[in-house]
Amino acid sequence: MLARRLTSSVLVLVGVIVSSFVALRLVPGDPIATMLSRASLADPAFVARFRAEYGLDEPLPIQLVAWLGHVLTGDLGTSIVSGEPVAELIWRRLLATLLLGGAAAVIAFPGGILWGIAAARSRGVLGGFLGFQPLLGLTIPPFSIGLVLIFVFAVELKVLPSSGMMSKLDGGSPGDVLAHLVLPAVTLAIYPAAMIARITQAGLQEVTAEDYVRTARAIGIPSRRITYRHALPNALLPVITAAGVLLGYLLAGAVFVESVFNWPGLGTLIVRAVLNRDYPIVQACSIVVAVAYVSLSLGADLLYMRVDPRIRFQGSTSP
Amino acid sequence: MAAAVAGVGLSVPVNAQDERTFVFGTNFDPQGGCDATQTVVVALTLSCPMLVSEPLVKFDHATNEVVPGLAESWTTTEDSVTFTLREGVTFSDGTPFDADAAVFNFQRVWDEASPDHAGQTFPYASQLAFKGITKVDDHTVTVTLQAPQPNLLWGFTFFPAYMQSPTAVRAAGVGYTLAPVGTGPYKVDRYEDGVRIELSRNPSYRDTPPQPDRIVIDINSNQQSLASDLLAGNIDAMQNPPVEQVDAMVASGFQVDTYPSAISFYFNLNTTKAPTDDPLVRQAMNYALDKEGIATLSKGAGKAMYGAWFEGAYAFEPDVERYEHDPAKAGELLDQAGWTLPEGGAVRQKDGQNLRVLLLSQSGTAGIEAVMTPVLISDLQAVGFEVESQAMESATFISDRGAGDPGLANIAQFGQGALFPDPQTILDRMTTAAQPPNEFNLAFYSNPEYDALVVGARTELDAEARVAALQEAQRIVRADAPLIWAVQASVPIAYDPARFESVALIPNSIGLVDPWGIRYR
Repeated sequence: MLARRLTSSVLVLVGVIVSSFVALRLVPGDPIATMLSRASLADPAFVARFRAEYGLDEPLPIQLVAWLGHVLTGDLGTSIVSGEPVAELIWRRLLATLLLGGAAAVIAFPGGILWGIAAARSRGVLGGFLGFQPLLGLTIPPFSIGLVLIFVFAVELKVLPSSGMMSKLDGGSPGDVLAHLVLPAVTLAIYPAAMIARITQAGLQEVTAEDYVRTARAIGIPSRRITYRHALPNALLPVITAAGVLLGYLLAGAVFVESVFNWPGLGTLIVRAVLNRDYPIVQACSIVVAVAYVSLSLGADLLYMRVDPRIRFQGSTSP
Repeated sequence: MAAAVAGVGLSVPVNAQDERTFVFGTNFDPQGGCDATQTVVVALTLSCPMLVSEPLVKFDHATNEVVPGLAESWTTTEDSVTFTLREGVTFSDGTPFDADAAVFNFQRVWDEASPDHAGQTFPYASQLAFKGITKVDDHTVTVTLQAPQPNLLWGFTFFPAYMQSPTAVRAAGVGYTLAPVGTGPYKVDRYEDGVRIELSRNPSYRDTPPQPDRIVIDINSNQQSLASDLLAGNIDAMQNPPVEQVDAMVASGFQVDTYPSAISFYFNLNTTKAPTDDPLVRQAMNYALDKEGIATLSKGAGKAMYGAWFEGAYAFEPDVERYEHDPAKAGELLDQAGWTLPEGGAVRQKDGQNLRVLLLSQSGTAGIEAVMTPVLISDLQAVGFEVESQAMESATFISDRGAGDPGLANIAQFGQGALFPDPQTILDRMTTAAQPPNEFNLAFYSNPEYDALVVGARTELDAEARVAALQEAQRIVRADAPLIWAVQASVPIAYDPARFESVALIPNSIGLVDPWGIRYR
């Protein structure tokens, strides 16, 4: 089972690497023309030299093979726009995105589970209210939430910064970065938290109807103990399955949130690189995002196997 | 709330600006950063290369004169200039600026035989037809050009000719762009591509420096987010505030000043595709557009433009009829072209075909550019056009699958800046040779008579004859109407007047901030 998952993960990665390369070349526009359209001049000799320098004048298959060769030796190339080594650029930006995504995960997972438990345990108007809230969280686009948060907390109340990862002046202390992290992390956390709340709520309601819960209730175990000790562990299994995808969302969803808050992460880097047709950056980012998705998904599967022995058992006996 | 946040140990940086640090927000990506020899996009940014380095001679936009920079004087022949360099000048890394440094810089950018040139490309190098450089003595150099040319000194005022420290260039190699070293009033402390640039005073700067001790250029492609930053006090100034937020900014006590620029926005009319292949139709479109309306809607971010060159500027041709807003005249011209309104119909027809045009614009535009397209659509519809509109992201827009495809659209929105106050810079871009894929003559305009005049003017040394040729070219192109000239941009800049007496732009430039025009109260 594990070997099969690993093989499919490798195939997914190869697919992403090749398709991102080809797709990018099929999209109209190239980096040099894009650059020059924003400048005030064009110089055909410069254009020709530039294309040759980056191998853009070679046929597509040759460019692909050359690029794969570089990637396999760990060379991701240099940015066409800034000339900076792509690996360094991505590493710096990846750390920023991991910080944002990690903070959002810390908010979203416990927050979503508690939200779901509260919604499942509450009755009447409060229960209806708590049950309805996740729907709002799932349907309102994160960037709208971000803009509202900026308006309230940065522009009106002036208690939190509106953009960036650190203060424009002498920023970078842990407290400063934390202050900048609050609004984007909350914005990014809302969708996954709402999703987890829905899953937890539905799972708890389903488990509560099971025989063993009814039995527990019949023999007089307190309701709170039934929920936390017996029902919740089973209700959370689907959350683990969803975790891989949701963690992936935190990485990819960061594109929108980073744009709204000008967070200097992978998301803003990708957007800028796509608009500039900065091929080396877009290709390298595709690899990073694909590796992250595949690893997270694989990790969630492994965790699931560990938590639920039935999966392990089925896996080992399946042909 | 602030106390509560502080209570959990967060340091809240709101309004924590240093008295003398100027934080400038820009939604333009200053591609090439602060390295003048690599800079690509300089318009509408704080133009970092000008903060860090200097050329031998500078262009003064106020007087249209070339003034001393690192050279204190010069003498010219038809095809050469001998510069006398300032003595006692050093780069911010301590390297002396002298004739050897000047020779190094010219050879690095222009001399393909030089080892310092190898393996590098310099975006704007074609602006100077460099032939060779000779060191006369420690503080004198002579630069020879390939041929005599008018405005001989202008090419020396442009970015590739900004002097860089030879020591720093040699030490950094290809990574020089990330840490350029010049003789300007500031030095780069930190450069994070696409995020921020931090500069502090160059202690060895020889002249009166601008007031800010430090400058931070905050790059944020999201203009709304920049506006929030300004309102929240996180940045000191921004160019091109979103049109819809200008009133709110003013109401909140911010100052929004506008400066005339050498940037024009217009619509290319595809001269090779029906119905815009008919000059009468193109002229009618020029009369149909309410240019003053665009200027009004943009809240002062532009001035109506009626021809190829800025009114009142050098070599402007006034003796032609202006394309003023005149829907009735547009209707007459369309009637004359055979496009007539059917009984009770709103769309003109000829031979059973509707007068239909496809308009391409770039998505994500802001300010006056975002206002232009809706105005044109409604004005064209008012005189009987059927208009289909498509917005494309910029790289697709300029590609051969967008406005670069002569078979696709009739109208393509575009803009350009004139680097020097001379119509040559604009007229060049409508020549046959400037058609895609070489350049951005997106009207695919081609008129041999026009080409001959414009190309001839490039090397015409007799000033009167040259002006006459450029004016005749303006008359021809205005009659041929390959463009709908729309507006000359007035670049707005927003700042807090409680802190600043002024944050000024260089008038008639491509939207450049004047660092000496940043004055604290």
